Amino acid sequence: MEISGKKVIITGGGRGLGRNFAISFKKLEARPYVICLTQENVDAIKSEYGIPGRVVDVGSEPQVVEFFDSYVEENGVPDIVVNNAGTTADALFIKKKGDEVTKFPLTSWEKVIGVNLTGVFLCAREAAYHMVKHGVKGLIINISSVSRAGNLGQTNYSAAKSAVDAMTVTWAKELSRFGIRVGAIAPGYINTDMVAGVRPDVLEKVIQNIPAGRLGETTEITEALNFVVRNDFFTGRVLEVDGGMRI
Amino acid sequence: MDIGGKKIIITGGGRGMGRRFALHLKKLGADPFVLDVVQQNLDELMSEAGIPGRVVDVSSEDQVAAFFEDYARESGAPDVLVNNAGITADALFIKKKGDAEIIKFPLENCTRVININLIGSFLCAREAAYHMIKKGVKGVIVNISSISRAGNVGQTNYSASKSAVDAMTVTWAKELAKYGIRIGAIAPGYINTEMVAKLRPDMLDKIIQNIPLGRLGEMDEIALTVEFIIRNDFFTGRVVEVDGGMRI
Repeated sequence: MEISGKKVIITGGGRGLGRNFAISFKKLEARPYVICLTQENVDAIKSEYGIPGRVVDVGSEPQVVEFFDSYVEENGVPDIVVNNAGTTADALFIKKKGDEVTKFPLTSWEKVIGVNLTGVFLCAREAAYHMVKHGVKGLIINISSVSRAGNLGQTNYSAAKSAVDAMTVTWAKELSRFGIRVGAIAPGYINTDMVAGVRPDVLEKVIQNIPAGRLGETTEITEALNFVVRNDFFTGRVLEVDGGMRI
Repeated sequence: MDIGGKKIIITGGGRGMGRRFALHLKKLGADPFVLDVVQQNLDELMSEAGIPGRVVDVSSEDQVAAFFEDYARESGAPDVLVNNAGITADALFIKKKGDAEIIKFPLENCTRVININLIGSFLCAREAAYHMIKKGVKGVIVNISSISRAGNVGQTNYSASKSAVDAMTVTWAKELAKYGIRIGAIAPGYINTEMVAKLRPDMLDKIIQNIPLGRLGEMDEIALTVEFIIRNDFFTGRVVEVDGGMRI
């Protein structure tokens, strides 16, 4: 699929990887549109890059349905949807501190599953619905993570990402008859806001475990995204870009 | 890694996918050199595209070591090696034909495929990495695996060899990262090539029925993937699967 001229919706496009995807698409003459939770970020990307966007909570069925209905009414069916919106809420499953034993909070579980799994489900469903309804041979790209293998402190995040991988395969099998491809990218530790939030001593240990000896750059993930868009034979699989790291 | 000006050795570059890689990379301004076992193929590639090559049997330690010595002496260490040379020799593990005959998988089929696909990849990667490290070249090795790595019917030997290559991809990525060398692999699905054209038509039909995208892949789609791996400096120790969604 050629990138230029394509209508691309990027969830979580207000900052981090998603924002970089949107800017890159714009530079390649595609028509990006971002959704995220923060009006400020929507405004910033509009004023800095002329990229339109809207506040939408991907975990809310009514909001997602309404968003896609209005987007399609105004712009037609999107060609590409990048399910990038994601959050973390790390905790040990069971934590023992001296005599105190704490459990993984259900709220941390629900928050991450709500955005990273249900959000991906909802956005992909609405996107695919409109693509199939109007015969658009589109593309859905799910952003997974190296954590899909099962990362320490990420019961919720790893489960969500692994679940997204499974859906990638199911959807690739189901939607290929409509000419729709579904792929995923599993980035390793990338130099972004989300990683900057990790404790410095933990981050150092992380980098020691990356054969490439450094964090990845957002441009390297954007490159992977462009590859998935362009390669018409890539579907139902996960592209891992992680500097050789094993979790 | 920028591709322009890079010295790229492609094994099995005389025909099929390897040949397409060489042509694709030449167009991007690289400096490809192909190895193959058929002189005629090399001559044709030279006259058609000005791409040099040499007859080398990748399963022969002597030939591989000698080739890389000569190449390094003439041109310096390669920047990229694409381990693409590979063959098939399919057979059922145990085949029962009616009441009479039960046939075993011939050891010779196993040996041939393991020698070229697995040992050949080992030898070429070893020599390439040796020269890269000796000269401080932060190179890339791309191993061509296959969707069959998952364990394909009739491909005890081929599946084993490709899965083994995947494992080496991970080991080498971990070991050679300290020298700035990346190792990646590509697992193509069924691609429109000579190798696939040899399959029985009824079998090929069944295969395409199992490909969600409803068609064979094109060699250019795999060449694009080779290009991606060479360029992406954070990609190492992993396999890119380009197979139209097929599951084996």
